[in-house]
Amino acid sequence: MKAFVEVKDLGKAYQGRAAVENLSFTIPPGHIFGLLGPNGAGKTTTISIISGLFPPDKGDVIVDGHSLLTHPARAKALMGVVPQEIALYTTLSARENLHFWGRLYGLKGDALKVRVEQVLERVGLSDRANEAIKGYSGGMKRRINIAAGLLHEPRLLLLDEPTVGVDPQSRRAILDMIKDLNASGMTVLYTSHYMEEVQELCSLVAIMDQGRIVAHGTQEELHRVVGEHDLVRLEVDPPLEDPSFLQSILGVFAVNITPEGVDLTVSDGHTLLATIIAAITQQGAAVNAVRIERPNLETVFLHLTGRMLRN
Amino acid sequence: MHLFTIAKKDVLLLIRDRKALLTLVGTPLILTFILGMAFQGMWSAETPPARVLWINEDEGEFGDILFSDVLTMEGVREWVRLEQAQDRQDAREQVQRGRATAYIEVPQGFSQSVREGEGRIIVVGDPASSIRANMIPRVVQRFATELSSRTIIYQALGEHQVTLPIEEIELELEQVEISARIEDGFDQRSSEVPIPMDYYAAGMGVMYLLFTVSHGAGTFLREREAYTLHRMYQAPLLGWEIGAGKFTGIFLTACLQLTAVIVFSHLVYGVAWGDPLGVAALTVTAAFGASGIGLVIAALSKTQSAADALGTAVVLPLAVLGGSMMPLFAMPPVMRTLSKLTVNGWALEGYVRLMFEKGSINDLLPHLGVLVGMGIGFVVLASLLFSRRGALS
Repeated sequence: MKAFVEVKDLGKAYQGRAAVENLSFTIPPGHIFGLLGPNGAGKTTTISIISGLFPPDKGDVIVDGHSLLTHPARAKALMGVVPQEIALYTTLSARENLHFWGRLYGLKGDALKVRVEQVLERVGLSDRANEAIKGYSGGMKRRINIAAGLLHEPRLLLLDEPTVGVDPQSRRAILDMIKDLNASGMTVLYTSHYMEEVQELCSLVAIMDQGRIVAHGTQEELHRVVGEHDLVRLEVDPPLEDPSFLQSILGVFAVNITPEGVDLTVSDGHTLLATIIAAITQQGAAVNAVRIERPNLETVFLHLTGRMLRN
Repeated sequence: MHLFTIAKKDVLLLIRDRKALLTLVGTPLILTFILGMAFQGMWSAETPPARVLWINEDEGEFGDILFSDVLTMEGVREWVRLEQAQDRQDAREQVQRGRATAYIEVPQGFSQSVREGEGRIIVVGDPASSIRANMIPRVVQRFATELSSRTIIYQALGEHQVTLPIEEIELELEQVEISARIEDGFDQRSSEVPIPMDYYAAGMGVMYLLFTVSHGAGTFLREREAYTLHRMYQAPLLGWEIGAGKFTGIFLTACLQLTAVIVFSHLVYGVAWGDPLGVAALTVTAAFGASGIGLVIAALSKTQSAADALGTAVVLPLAVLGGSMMPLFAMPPVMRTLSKLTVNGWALEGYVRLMFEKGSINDLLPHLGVLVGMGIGFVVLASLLFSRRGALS
């Protein structure tokens, strides 16, 4: 299938330090593409370049055949951008904000009015539309922030950590909205450091770490990177200072200290559990709780980087 | 045009910001009232004595009368400090340098000329015509008029050998010509003494115009901090449209602020701003020039608080230099020259010309040209600064 978005060998450095390096991926039309990585992995830099906020030091982004470098206005017109920050005028009402952003995307007259009412309806804030944004809850602000990116019915929606700081109810509403938009044919690029969100939403995922893509593909393809491995999560008291002794156990592939204790990627959790607990006990620590999970994107990230996403 | 969408939004944001609105429109009106009332007395009779140089080459009595009696009588001596000049050229130069308020010269043979029905006194004044200096030609003029009247009467009495009642004597006015010749600034241009309330309405209006553009610079930085500026750059706009939109926003808010001060001060204090067309043209060009300063402040600042601090640091010295605090015409020549380097100095001088000299838009052409030129210069400078650093960093 022809790619709707092609990201070609992107590179960007700040004061000599690479923020993203040799970044390449494609997004076919109609997919939700997830950029997953811990804070500081380069997700926001990547989405900022793709949205045309600033040019890359090298590489290019092609959106539906339009180069962002040579035809930025055409490429940008196809995109709706929802930044991580609440980029709205808080002393203006939701309706006034949407009218302003709609005009910047070329909407006017009745078409603008109709679209503003439609997106207010979609985010469930029609009845509060005349109130100043500053009186809204965090979740409501997030919803208007998303609504502003939807006004011109973009074919590609870029969402940068859109659920940061929202209550569970608003998070659910936002995730459901993104699914609905995708179901109507919209291509979505979604960045998050919440593995569960990416796992729920995205048909394609790229895992980023330290400015590079360490793996990408469908979720099934990424799980195969880990193989039939389990994630064993242990609560240990007192905490282990140096868990490297666990890596000498045959079948343990990765070890990561967590605030509660330690996470291990292992070949078969149930078989190795007794050996692992014995090794920890020998170090003078007690194992208070055990959980064995099937492979997920967190396991993949741990397997590839030796660290957890939350780190 | 997207730039008008951005500008319209900025005006709406200012209107919603009641605190800023009160500061930018309310405060200059309050200060105008306070300063206008406070300086009412000082601008009239209670001004400190003005240094007046004089040379009397008249051999007769009239020259002496002027300097010994007229200029030392009660009501005049309080504000005139007479000093005999040694040299005519030196006296003129002192006036031009602002070291003396005026120079009065009674030429040789003046008394004799008066008896023959003519005679002239020369008064050289400060070209910028200070308030005090305005009073000197009036006194001399009055003296000359008095001499004319008395000469006419004496001539008439002489002709009729004082046998007729005075009301039957025909006065031949055209035969008598005694006057004070007024040079430089002491002409009809300065015939109206400035009213402090009017002056400070213009002075405070212009000073708060600078605060308004400084506030506009702050909104530019606030947009950057709130990421709305980033969002604009992510929209399908050209970079110049965003910059021009922000400039237009600052310009429109500046126009509105100054217009509000003009309208309110006229309605509430009865300030007479002068020729409406001239006022409108001056307001628009002053707002344009000042908006350029706002854009430069934005370009030089990294944060809104830095812009606020820089704005205050720029506005207050400019306000002093431009004459908002102390009247331009009361400043020494060097300060008046420096005020020519400021947008607000040109704007205020223009308003003063409209208010007190009954000027029209034609008299303001140099002011309008300079203000537009300064505005363009500042926009070019700000563009260079932005292009070097980037609008988002």
